[in-house]
Amino acid sequence: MDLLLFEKVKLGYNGRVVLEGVNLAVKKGDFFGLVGPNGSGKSTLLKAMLGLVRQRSGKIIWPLGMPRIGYVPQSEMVDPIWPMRVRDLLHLTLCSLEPAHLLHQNEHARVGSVMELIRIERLANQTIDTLSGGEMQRVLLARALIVKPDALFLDEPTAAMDLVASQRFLSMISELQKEKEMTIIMVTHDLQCLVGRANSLGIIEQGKVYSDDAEKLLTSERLSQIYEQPMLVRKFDGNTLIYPDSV
Amino acid sequence: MLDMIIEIYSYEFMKNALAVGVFGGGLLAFLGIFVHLRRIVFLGAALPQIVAMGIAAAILLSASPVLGAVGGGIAGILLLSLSGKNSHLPPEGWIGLSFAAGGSVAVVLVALSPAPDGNVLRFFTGDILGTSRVDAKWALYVALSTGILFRLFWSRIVITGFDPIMSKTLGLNVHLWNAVLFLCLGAGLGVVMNTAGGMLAFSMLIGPPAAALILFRSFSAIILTAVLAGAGASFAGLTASFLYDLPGGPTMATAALIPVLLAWPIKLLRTRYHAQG
Repeated sequence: MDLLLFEKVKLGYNGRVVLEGVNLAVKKGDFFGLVGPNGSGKSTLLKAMLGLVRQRSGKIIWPLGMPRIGYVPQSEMVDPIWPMRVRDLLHLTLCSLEPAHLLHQNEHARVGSVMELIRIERLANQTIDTLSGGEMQRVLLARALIVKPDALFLDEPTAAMDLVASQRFLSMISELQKEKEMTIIMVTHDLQCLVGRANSLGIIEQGKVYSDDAEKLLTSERLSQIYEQPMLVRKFDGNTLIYPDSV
Repeated sequence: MLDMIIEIYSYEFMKNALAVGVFGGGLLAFLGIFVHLRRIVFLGAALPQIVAMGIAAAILLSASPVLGAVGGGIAGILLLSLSGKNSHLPPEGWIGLSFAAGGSVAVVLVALSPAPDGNVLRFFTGDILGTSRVDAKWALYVALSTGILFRLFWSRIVITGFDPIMSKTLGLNVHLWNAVLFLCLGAGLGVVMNTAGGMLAFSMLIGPPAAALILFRSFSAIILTAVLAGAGASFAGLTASFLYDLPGGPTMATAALIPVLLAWPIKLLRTRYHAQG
């Protein structure tokens, strides 16, 4: 069942066309990975999905109706001068949707359960300016989950993390997707980090979006066509590795 | 000491000045927290100039200066929030233009006014001792209205300021909650400037909340400190101006900056104490 459809969508800013003729479909419950180099337009595409940028032409359709959205920005987007403890940030987000006095007590307990789910209980009383990049990203994930989203949008969530923190975070996202049957839409510049996690992909290359099931897209032939250079997809010790043939 | 203070505030003009100082100062100190957190301090500097233009326009048109001040504040906020869109000039450029235009046009409008006397000029330089009971009531009403709005919509005003993009994805109307904050800011600056001038208004908007933000990392402590520092600075400055025959508004404006001077050493001592402990 399609959750989100793009039909011949054209996107741009101030007279500049960023992406044209975008066709893609995100199915309900999918882990959809959107990959592209810096400046390729992946953030613009994400913004269009979120309704933050209007398309110039074409259609963006939510066939099942607009879902409740959880959004996880890059941790650098958060201004640490705001005097907020992690617990306060989650409470404020919850209360912004409904006034605090109307929220059932169980809803307040939800802050605790989400912190437990994301394993950030020990950060509850820390202010956001004291968090590391990885901790901040987990807090932002908790904030997105507090609103009980149907679809979770992540914008380069591992950009400020080291390799270990990045792998842990991505595993957490995969678990969430399977346990909660949540639709995940994740933007990244690192195709490799999506291998084995995303079941459908959109690859942006030279202003075009190639979208398909991950299995169909992650082949040497298909990637070589998209990147216009020889690419290799190899299984190694149970893991799939992707690299240019020249390496 | 107490007898002396009671005597000072037995005069009607001192009571009115104190009321505007405490209500208006406390209000601007509270709103200033958001001016700092949203990194729009320069907007806070330009706004009093636009408010001055509103007052001057009201005087020229024989309308109420209070309405001119509040209207100027709100119009200024709206103009400045719209001016940066789809423009190659950065927001700071628009703020600088507003600062220059507001101040200069206000003086020209006053010169064109049928009665450019000292009573008119007090709106620019500030004459807190000339405050009337009506002015004090306006300050109280605006402070109360702001308090009620923030009490009712606290989480929405804070979260839309903290992360507007995420707020939009949650379906929150970011423009509406920005407008609520800016409306309160425009009205607050309007009532204080109308009686006390731009210098005091800007000092109250920036000084007490800066001290609170230096000292604390929780909203409740910051708000309490900023409001008490704003109100306290008004009282201290006004009392000192009476005792030492100093100009009221500038003395209060200076007093509003003292909490910042105190906050730094307190912060340093506290950091050293925690490091040792």
